Amino acid sequence: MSGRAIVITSGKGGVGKTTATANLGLGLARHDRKVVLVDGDIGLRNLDIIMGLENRIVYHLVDVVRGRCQVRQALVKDKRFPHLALLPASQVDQKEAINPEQMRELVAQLKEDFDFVLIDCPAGIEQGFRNAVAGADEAIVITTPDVSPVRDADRVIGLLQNSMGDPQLIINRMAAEMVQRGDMLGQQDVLDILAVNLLGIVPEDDEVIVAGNRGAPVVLNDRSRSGQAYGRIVRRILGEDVPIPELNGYGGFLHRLGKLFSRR
Amino acid sequence: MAQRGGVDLFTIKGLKSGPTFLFDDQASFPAVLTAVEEELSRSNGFFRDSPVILHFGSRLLNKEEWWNLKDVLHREGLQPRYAVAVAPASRELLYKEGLPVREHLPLPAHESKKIQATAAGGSTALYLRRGFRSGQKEVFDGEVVLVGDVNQGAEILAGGDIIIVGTLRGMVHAGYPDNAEAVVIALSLVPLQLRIGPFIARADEEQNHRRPQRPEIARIKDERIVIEPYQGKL
Repeated sequence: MSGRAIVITSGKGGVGKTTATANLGLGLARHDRKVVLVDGDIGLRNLDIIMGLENRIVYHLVDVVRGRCQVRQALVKDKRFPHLALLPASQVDQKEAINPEQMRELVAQLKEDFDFVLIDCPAGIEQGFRNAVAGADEAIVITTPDVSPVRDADRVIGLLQNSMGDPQLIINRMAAEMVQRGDMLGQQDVLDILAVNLLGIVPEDDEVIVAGNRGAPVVLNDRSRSGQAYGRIVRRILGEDVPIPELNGYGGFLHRLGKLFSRR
Repeated sequence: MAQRGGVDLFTIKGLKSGPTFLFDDQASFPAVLTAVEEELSRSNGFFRDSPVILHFGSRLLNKEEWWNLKDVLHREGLQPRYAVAVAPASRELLYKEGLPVREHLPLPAHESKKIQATAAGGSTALYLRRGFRSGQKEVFDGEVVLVGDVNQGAEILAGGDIIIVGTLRGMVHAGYPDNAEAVVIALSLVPLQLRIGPFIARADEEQNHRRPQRPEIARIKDERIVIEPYQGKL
């Protein structure tokens, strides 16, 4: 078997990479795919908490790379889906503990046993980013519809285009009312700038936070709006043609540019 | 003043175009560098923060030499405005290092017009068939034609005009460093800041929702940058 390795990245921190990784992983597992989630954020381990698996960790990614254990020993099996696994990050090491070449080897090995290898990338564009991206065949970039995450997403897309094809985009935490009031960028504003394929839009939803704290991601809750959105994104990843419900077009703020004034 | 067989290794001249540092182009570079350090320490910070022109003559400058010189200049608080170098390889190096370059010092007004005319006839342009994202930069001593968008956080510096067949949101500097004749044309001209020659314009923060529906041109008129609809001719 040779699975698809997808890195989930954003540049900016706090836009929902880890939450998205957990939801996409669970969503794909619900479609009976064999999935492994790799927490690439060495030193700031979070994915285990969102997944509600933190008490089951024995070994971690750095242990595997250093040869202190076998890959299968480090994989934490999900409590809901036996064919979903987590390869946790180390909380006590630094990003420099591994290098891109080691990451490539590890991901190649995981691709033999899983349909999907989802890699949760740390914020930033330094060593941690280069490690996380190294083994991936595809990338999903997450942004919120705010000016600075969009600019950082743009930077990351530029970097990704050097090493792989165009990434796909998820716009997270879209608040339709704020867009209509012109207080937030709209979907079309973001797409005009980033000019990549839109994989989906996740609406702003308090349940995401509650679910993250409980270790039970929203994609498992068919009644939540954000959970449904993740469900649709998962089907799109699997190649289904699922329309994206039009949340909005253009918003405000981006074009706070106006007439140019000159000065010497 | 440091000399080599009666020739000055380093001279500072107050020319009309600005204070100009002339580096001897025959002597070894370390010798020149020593002369620069001596002369500048003698000047007691007189040139601190003043924009200076660096004249390398026909020297073939390498990267290490330039970095060493840059260190010295930086230490003395000097801001190179542009460099003059006869050797094309030196010009290319300096331009890639982010310093505007010229082949010779600007000539008096009546002569410079003639030079510009020939330059326009045989000018070089860089054609870029791709967009520029945040963090990407292009520096070119000539006109730049770009098919794609230039996003916020991207930078393009051109010695001449800049034509963007797409949306301009990032920072472009046409006529870099001081060619006020240069223009910027874009299908959608919405940068936060725009530079032409010695002028800088910034977006009006009061105005929101500017979404120009047609191509526009930015140029210098009466000592300021103005933006007008592009009517199909300059």
